[in-house]
Amino acid sequence: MRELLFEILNESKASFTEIRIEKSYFSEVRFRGKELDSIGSSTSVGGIVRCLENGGWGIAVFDSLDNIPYHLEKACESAKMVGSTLPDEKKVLLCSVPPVEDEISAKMDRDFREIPINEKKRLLEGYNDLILCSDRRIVSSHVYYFDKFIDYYYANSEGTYIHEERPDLSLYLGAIAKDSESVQNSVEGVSGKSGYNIALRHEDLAKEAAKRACDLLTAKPVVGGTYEVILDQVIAGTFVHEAFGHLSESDHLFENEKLRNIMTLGKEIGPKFLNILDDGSIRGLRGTHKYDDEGVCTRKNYLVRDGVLVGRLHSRETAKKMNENPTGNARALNYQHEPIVRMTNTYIDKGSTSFDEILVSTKNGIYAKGFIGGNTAMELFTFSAAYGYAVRDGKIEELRRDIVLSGNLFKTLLDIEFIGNDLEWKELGGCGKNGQNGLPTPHASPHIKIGNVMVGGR
Amino acid sequence: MLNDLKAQLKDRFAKWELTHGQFESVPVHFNAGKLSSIKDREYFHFATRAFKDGRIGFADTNDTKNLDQFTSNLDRSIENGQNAEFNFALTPPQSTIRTYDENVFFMGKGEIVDIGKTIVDKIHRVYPDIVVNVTLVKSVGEIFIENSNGLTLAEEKSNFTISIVLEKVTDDDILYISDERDSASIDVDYNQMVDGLLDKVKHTERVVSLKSKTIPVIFAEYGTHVLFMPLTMGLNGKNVLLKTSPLADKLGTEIFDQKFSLIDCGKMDFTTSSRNFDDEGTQRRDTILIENGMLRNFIYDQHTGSLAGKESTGSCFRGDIKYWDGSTLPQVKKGIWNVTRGDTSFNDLIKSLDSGLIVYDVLGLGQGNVMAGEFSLNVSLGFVVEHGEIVGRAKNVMIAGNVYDSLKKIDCITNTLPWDKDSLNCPPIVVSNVNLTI
Repeated sequence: MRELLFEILNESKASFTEIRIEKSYFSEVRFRGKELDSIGSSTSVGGIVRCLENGGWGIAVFDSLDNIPYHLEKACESAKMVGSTLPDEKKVLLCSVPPVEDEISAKMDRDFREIPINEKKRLLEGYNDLILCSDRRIVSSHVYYFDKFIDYYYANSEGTYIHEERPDLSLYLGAIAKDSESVQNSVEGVSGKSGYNIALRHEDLAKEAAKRACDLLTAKPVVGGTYEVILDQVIAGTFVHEAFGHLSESDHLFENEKLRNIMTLGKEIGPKFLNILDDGSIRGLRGTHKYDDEGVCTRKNYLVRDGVLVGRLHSRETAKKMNENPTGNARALNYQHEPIVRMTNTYIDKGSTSFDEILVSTKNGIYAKGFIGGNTAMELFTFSAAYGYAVRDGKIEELRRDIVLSGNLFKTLLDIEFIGNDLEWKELGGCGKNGQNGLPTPHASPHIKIGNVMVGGR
Repeated sequence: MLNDLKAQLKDRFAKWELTHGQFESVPVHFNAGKLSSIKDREYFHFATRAFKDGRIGFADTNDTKNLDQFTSNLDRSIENGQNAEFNFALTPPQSTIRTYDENVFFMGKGEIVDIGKTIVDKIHRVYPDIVVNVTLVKSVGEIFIENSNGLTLAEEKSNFTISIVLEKVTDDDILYISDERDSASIDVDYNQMVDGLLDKVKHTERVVSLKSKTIPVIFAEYGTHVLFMPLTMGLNGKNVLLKTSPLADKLGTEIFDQKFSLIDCGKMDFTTSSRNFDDEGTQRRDTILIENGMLRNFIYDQHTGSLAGKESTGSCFRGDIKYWDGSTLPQVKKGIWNVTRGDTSFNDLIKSLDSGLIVYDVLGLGQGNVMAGEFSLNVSLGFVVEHGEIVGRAKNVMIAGNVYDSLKKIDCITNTLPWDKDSLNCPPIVVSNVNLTI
């Protein structure tokens, strides 16, 4: 493959060209209720060429490797067309990075490609039966397993060549409970890239999902208002991803002067004990790769240090435009997409406060746990907890449901009162941006407490 | 290769279905007003479902060089597959709906770029400081379906989509205002899109506080999705069979206000969602889902219909009705949903209101107990109405409620729908029992 790619790149008439090829294997098992919903494996192959010529980008995506030079020519023509419309000050330039050559093999405890599909089915069947049999109020389930293995090749006209094996696996255990008043669902799950063993021995999670779905039937919805809120590690990680992480992605900023002025490095954005990082080099996490999808080394990037905005996430284009160092954050969902600036593994670094101290400090609040999702419009953001509890006078009280928290970036970060000492990672799920939905972006946090959070409700 | 595969399927399986799709699309992207990239995208994928010994299996790929692996995947899927007894589509559908406009095929990159530039220039003439992002996509392709019942179908599809996102930044206020329209023909009225966006920008110049938490809420444009996301789950025959739909035992009963009627529409020409048949070859048709508040029908495919003792409503799609995705198992999905319009224009509605909140866009859609109809959302683009006029933008407001309660009492459904070619066409709709957190 290396020789093929460089042979094609040598033919390119563009000033910069890169090619990414992916050969993928995928398998899934899904149960909905008692019935098996889907089971099977598939393979796919495809690639993308990106050309930069005269300061403009041209791109071509293809599903067959038979005629890459044809697609290269199309991408080059498009690049020239784009470049011809741009004044000099708008032409794209890329920051310099050293070329690399590397082969990165996957390290899995058990290669899931070698596990027969009937074994995966039996595993899921076991979890599914546990959920369905756990309580008479459980009416259905949604138990889903998938694994994916990508043979990934990247080369560019500067001499970079990377071949990486990229495994990934997720297991979702969902329970649906119903009574005469309501229907509630609850999901637990795990995700990772270390191999098939990730999916094993999660009977407790299956039972937990079922129990919580039943408990939520009788939980009261939270009343809308402004609260002191304790976030567990999972929802706090979602909070930092939505509230701050997306605004750190420089492709939102690099062509928007006013937004850049709002997010000036050196601006105090949170309390002095707040540190937020993004690190694509942390061993073993789903968001980790040695190089990003432009061949740039990933690294630990401080975004907020001691409450002050100190860094951003970049592609080669945004780093050059903003005169900052590249950070290794250009990522593409798959070969059908060009790389854009994305988070990798984002976290609030641990503080020094214990959970008990955080709890005792809370007079009238909500303890939000787990996550359903989050959304951002840069300044405004929401994030939804899976469930929570009322907190009164430092004690965890009754279960609450339908907890959706919302905030304003410039206020909410400053309202963080405590950061716990119990950092935990959550790898399940993925992030959506510009039509590239489901990119693994693990997040982490300790418990944190925020004063004055708006919570929607009736 | 597909001929070899078809020969194998005929030889080995009594019931089989083979589908493939091929598309070419050209996305053109403007970032912050400048042409940023032009992309050529070729997409090809094929998939099979087959029965053996009472079980069904599925396989898909785009790799035409590896038929052995594909058939092996299919065999493993069948061996371990679910028990199923339904027939693939039998009756050749009529092809009367127009799904393809060759003008889209002939649209050159230069022409698309010119439209993008026109949009940017028009907005900047009025608001030079607003950042304008535009994505225009033209796409043409064809879907093929064959099955063991002798059905051999082909349908050409075309699509032209324009998406505009405006970024308005003042001091610490960051606002996004967007619109997206698509069509199977090139008649997307981008001038009307721009006029609508400029009108909204004008109303954001002032941020006003809501004086009350108990005012009518007008869900408009993208805001109507708040009301329909739960219905796409609740009216889905699969969820009815699983007994997870809150509507499972309510067929034939009055569930909503009598003003509300909803049709799954199979007879619209030249929309991106226009299809003559669904992704298993079943004729698309009009199905009345809710009529004057009464629940009339759920949506089904061949499999779920057979389990429910109902006919398929032609509601089986890979991906969704707009964008065929061969790697996705075909499932029951909504088609084109049209809400019957009322008698009042949007302008007359606004004039009649002493107070109200217009919700155009929200944050957090789908991130809650959607199956139960619950919503709790931040209003990312909303306007305050006072004494018959839009007086400014609402900010830091959350709305919460339950769709199954909200639609029981509808104050008004208007008759104004600037764009009625989407896969959800609902004019602005006013409900009062929505909780506001301010």
